[in-house]
Amino acid sequence: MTDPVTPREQRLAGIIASAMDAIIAIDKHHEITLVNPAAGQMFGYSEAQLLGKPLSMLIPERYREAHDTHIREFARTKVTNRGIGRFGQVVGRRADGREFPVDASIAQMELAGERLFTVVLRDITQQIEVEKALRQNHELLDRIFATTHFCIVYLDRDLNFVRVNQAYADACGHPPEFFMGKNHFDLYPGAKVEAIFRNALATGQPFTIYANPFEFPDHPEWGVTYWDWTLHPLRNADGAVDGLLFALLDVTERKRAEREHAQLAAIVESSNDAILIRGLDGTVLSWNTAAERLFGWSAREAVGQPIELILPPERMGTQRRSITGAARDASLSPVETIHLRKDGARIPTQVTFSPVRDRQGKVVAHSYTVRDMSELKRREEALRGSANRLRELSHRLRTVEETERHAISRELHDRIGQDLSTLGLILGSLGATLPRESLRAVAKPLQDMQGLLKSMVANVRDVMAELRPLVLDDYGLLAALRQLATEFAKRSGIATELSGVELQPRLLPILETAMFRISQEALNNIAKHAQAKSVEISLHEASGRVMLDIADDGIGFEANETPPDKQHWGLITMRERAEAVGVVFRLESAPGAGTRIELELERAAP
Amino acid sequence: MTIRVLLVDDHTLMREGLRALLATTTDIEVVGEVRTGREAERQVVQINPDVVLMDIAMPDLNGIEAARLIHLKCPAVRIVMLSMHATAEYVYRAFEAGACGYLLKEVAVEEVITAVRTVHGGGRYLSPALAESVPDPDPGAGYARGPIDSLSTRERQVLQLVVEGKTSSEIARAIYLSPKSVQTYRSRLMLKLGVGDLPSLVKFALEHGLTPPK
Repeated sequence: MTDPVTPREQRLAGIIASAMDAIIAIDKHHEITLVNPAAGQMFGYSEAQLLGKPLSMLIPERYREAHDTHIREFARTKVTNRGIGRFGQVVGRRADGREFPVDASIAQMELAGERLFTVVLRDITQQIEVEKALRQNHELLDRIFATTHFCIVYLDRDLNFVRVNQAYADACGHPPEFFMGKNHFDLYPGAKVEAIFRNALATGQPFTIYANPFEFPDHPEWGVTYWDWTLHPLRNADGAVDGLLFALLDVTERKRAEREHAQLAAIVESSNDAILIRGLDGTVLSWNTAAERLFGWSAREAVGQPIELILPPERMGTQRRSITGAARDASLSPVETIHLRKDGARIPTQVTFSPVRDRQGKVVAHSYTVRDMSELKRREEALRGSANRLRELSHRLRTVEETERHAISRELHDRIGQDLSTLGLILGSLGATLPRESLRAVAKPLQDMQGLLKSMVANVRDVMAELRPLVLDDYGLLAALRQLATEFAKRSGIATELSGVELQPRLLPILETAMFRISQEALNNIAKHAQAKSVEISLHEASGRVMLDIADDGIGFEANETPPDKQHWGLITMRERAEAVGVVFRLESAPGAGTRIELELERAAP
Repeated sequence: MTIRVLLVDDHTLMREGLRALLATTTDIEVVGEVRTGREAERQVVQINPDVVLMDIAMPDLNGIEAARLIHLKCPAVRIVMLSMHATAEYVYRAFEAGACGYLLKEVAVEEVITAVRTVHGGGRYLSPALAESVPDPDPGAGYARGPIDSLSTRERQVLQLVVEGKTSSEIARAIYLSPKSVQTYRSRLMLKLGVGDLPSLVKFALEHGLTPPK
């Protein structure tokens, strides 16, 4: 047919020319007989370059054979058209050699006994990329879903489980498959929560709740757990709600931490000690009520201020050193110091520093616990004062006692003793002067009287020695110790050795007395407790220092511990006595190694 | 020849009693009486008695001090202390001061005549009652002479071992003390002997007669 071109044909040619898709016609030899502009553009050739050329030039070489076969197969089927894509990937090849995926359909017809094929092609590079991106997105979501510590559940309109993630399954103590097809509220009944879910389905409004308590009906042993959770309605393509996304977070730990924190805060707040936190930058971060009371600054005034607010300027150096010390490591034992009040007053305090650490053990701040010691100091002072007065009093009492003893002892010696001796002499002379016959009558009573007199003198002598040995006053310490040692050895049967030198010049009477009395007490202790076989007493003087040692070889005791009661008082008395007159008292003892008492005295410079 | 006695006692009745007692003998004569040590010291030159019979406890110079002065002035005068004091210390002091007799007042009636005769005859007299507590009235017996003598047995032991070059623990083992105690003894020794360090201590000990290590 050679009809002129009809308007109908013209219209058709226009459609082909303006089509978005590439259109290519080929003859039975697979040679191109028609191309539209879109095809030229797609492959990067001009129409002229394509017409009369084999179709295979538009196909990468490795696909050409398969493609030829495919078209021949198609011709045999007599089917008018089909998509090519279902037979596998169709790939186009541009003039510049670049390949690209195409979506192709092919049609065939008989025209004047000639078989013609029409191929319609669409570049799907972009589409594939979009699909790839979508797939990646999906994978990402899947991964998030699988790995998040949020528990995520997808429920359908009937609140049946559609999908749960591992976190949720783990939290509930079941494998993920367990939930499939089950109804949420069959597993975990709860009318109030179900109403919330239904409402979200009905209204399409999301819902969030924080720290909601929940008890697992199948795990009562877990107790009450706390959950932050969110409901998010999911809509289908029509915009109708067809499911719920249910995301949960277990906040039980946090809740407990909060409660603990609240308890700690309450303790800090109610503490009688001022507790403050100092940040690493040296500013006050926290300030409790007791701190307000102690320092006079309110929390509002103090927080944010440098810690120097409460340090007296004159002590800043030392305080800073303590702080550095606390920063280095563990809490320091309480430090006694002085703090500054708002009104400028200095308060004696006891401070404990301790580093505040985060979970990683890094020091993030320091806590100060400050105790007001004013009252304690006052009491201590009062106590010390009264102890001093007591010591002074007992010292004075002892002095008075010694003076009295001395006076009585002298009195006994000079008056009673002398009188008794004289009486003895007179009685003796009486015997010598009486006529013989008178003597016979009184001889017996006279003899008795003389015997009685002697025993009275002996008694007076004992009482004198007991009261105060006159030899101490007459000849000093070494002489008195010699007498003491002799009498002690005789009385106790313990071998007693005295060595030493006469002190030149003699010590003050008050010192001689103290050292003698302490020696007496020490020997008494030895006789009573030590089970000693021998005692050594030595008195020496060198370079202005007087030393008196008393050592026994008895059973001893643990010198660091308090000895048995009676002995204990003896030791206290000795020490007290020594210290009252400025004599150093030292005691050395160990079980089985005897006891040694050392007295030491520095002579006053002449 | 009678023994001429001076009585020294502040107690009048005592003097009278003694005078009466001595008067019962034919060989003893009381040639004077004074009331204080000071008076005795003055009178003894003029009276020149053979024996002074003297109390210890007296106002204005006690008996022992008076004895010392009298003995210095007139060494031939024999002094007998007559005292209430029954302790070794007074006996020792009296003999050291130059007395040659010591008797207790309460036994004077029995012993004073014997005592006066004994000392006048050149002997010493001590009340038998005192002999027990004063085993050796020899002046100076048992009393320290040198610095080393003034140390106790234990201290001398420790010092000897130190001089021999023993360590604290060796000394401790040798004399059954703890090493710590030995150290205390040693530092105390140095203090007592007034030496500052160990070499000086050894030197001091050698100079004062301790034997060096063999």
